[in-house]
Amino acid sequence: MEFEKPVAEWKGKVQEIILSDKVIIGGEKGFPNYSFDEICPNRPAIAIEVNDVYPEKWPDTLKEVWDDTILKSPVERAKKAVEEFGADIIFFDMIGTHQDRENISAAQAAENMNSILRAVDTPVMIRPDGNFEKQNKVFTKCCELAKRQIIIGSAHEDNYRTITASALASNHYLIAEAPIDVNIQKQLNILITQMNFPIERIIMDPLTGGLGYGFEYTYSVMERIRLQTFNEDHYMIPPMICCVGQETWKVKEIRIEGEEFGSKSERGVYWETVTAIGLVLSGANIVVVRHPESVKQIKKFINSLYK
Amino acid sequence: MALTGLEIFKLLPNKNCGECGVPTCLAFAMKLAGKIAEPEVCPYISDEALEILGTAQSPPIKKLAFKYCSDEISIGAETVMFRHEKTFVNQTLLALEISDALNEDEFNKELNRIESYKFERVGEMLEPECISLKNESDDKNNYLQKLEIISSKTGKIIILGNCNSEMIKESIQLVDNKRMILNRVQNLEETLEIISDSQIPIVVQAKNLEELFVQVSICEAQNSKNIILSIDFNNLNELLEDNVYLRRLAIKKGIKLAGYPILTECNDEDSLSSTILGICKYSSIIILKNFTGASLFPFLTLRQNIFTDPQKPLQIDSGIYKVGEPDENSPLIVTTNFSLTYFIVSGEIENSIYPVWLFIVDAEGMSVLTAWSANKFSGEIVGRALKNSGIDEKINHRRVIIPGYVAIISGELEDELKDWEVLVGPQEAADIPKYLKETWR
Repeated sequence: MEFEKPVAEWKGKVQEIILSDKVIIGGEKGFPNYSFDEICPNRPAIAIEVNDVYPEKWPDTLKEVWDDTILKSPVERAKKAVEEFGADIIFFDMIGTHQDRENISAAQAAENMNSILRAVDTPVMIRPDGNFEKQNKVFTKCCELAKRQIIIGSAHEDNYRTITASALASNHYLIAEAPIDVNIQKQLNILITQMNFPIERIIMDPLTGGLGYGFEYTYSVMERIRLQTFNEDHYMIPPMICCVGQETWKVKEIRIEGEEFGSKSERGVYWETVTAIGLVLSGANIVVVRHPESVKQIKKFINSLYK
Repeated sequence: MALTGLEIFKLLPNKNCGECGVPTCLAFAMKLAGKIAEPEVCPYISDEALEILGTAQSPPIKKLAFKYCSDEISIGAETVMFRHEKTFVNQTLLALEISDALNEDEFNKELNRIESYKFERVGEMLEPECISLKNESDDKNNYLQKLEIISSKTGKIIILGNCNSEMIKESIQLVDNKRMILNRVQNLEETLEIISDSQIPIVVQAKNLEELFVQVSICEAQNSKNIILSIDFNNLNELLEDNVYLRRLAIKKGIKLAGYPILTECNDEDSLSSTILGICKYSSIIILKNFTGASLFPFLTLRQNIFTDPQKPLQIDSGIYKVGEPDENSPLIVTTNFSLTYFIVSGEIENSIYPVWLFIVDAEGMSVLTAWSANKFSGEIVGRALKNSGIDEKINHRRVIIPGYVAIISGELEDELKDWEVLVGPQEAADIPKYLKETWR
């Protein structure tokens, strides 16, 4: 039976960012993954999280697949993430810089970052932790001393000046994070570009709610951001990143016992994978995860979606 | 397309008799337009008007209702492409597949396993609603016997898969027709004949959209109205394309042939991906072949999230919640019943080393600052809620921690709660672990 295919027309385009020879994100000319409507030239990329200190809060099932000796060395972790687990990108989450934790100094943080940059050839994102004062010190040092171009996060509505100026001066990419809010996200993008930072070098972090913990808010905010992109809103063209691992491996649903819930290690992987795939469907260009099995499952999904 | 109140008014008898419960036909027309009245309530309405109103007012995707346990449950009736435009209406039903070729022991064991998958989350019971009984034995008596077992042992909706006409003939005598669906029937014409007097939904299968619409036309010509659509797919790109196209044709283009719920059958290998995609993107029923509790629990949680109505602030019940295993010396923290607030606060408490009594105040689903400015989280309201909560029987101390953003209510709260000490906690939930570490003893 003849019928006219209901192809939708979209105006505008998500900014394409070439992070390396192999890793190119964004560039879709229509709603994310709707390659039957418009060209979606680049597959979503998978980043694996690496920390600057031993992640003692991780559940044992997650620690076991990494091995404790590896987990104690950021460089070994990054290598394993790329060589064995197939990470496209390393997300170097520097939780140890927090002033109430190890309080790693800005200079040391920059050195840690450079050892990662030397150890792997993938793009590297870095994000310090701590109060704004501490974060700003680390932003400045890392941007200044980075041996190659990095992606630095995160600029906030309340703290974007130092990081934007640093990233601008040394030609890095910038992550702009808003609290699950379309309007604040746009406002933040405008503020950053008003400092002459090019919109083409921003990656948006809409903030991820883990599955069961606000997931649907993020899901819909991302869809709304993309509908705005394709309504030719130039301030909403940056690609999006979702930090999935940090939100999913802390939920109580992966820790509870009971035969009906199945094995704990499997459940953790599913929780992370389901969250990540759901967010890819709503437009994530990069998902950050922790478990190698999640990487495999998400890749399998993306391969089938981009057939 | 939906009609306006004035367009509907022109179809009404204009008697202004008031028998429908509102004084004038115009007022009744407005109620119809707002979908808060049924046209049948008017005793004088013409058949012609009823038909126009019926088709114009019904949702672009047909609603099908089933009996499920002692309840009714529906699929279809969707009206939007994106959940934020209004809401997704009827959640995706999950079906677990079981083969009739299992011997009776194995079959019962498998059925018990399926029945064991029930999970409670934020006050809701989550479970797969359907069982798909697949004919693999090609032995009618065996199939019917297995069907009988499912029918009597569970309250789930039964999807009969791959049956020949003889099996279907006897099955519909055996099982309540309101809790069955026919899938992958061996002979479509014969089956349509057999079920012509019933309301049993039938799944129409095809390799692509063109073929699907031919099949749907055949069913409609046989006066079969309870149709479910299913298209085979080779990869997720095809599944996404078919589901998006069907939803667009039904909602945006008003194509009737596409206006039925969709059933997605997962392959063995891509169960995980197609289930997630189906839940997010328009499948009304998903049949899973591989499943464990470890996968079903997140699937059902995803479904719970996606089908939450975004128009309502998501609230959780007010009252006392345990985070960890608190005892009589554990801290007591209060916050509002906005679910995001609850999730974030309870998550951060879990990150601390302390088990905590978390007391949730009914603030109409608003976050702390909003609730305070709307006067829903005043010292008086919090104090009264705490006094009536029975918390004083669970703890020995009389100290309560309030969110830092509402430090201003502490005086009022102390007035309300005589001999309690009010402690002002941090503004941000992320600082709770540090706060407890430094101040609680």
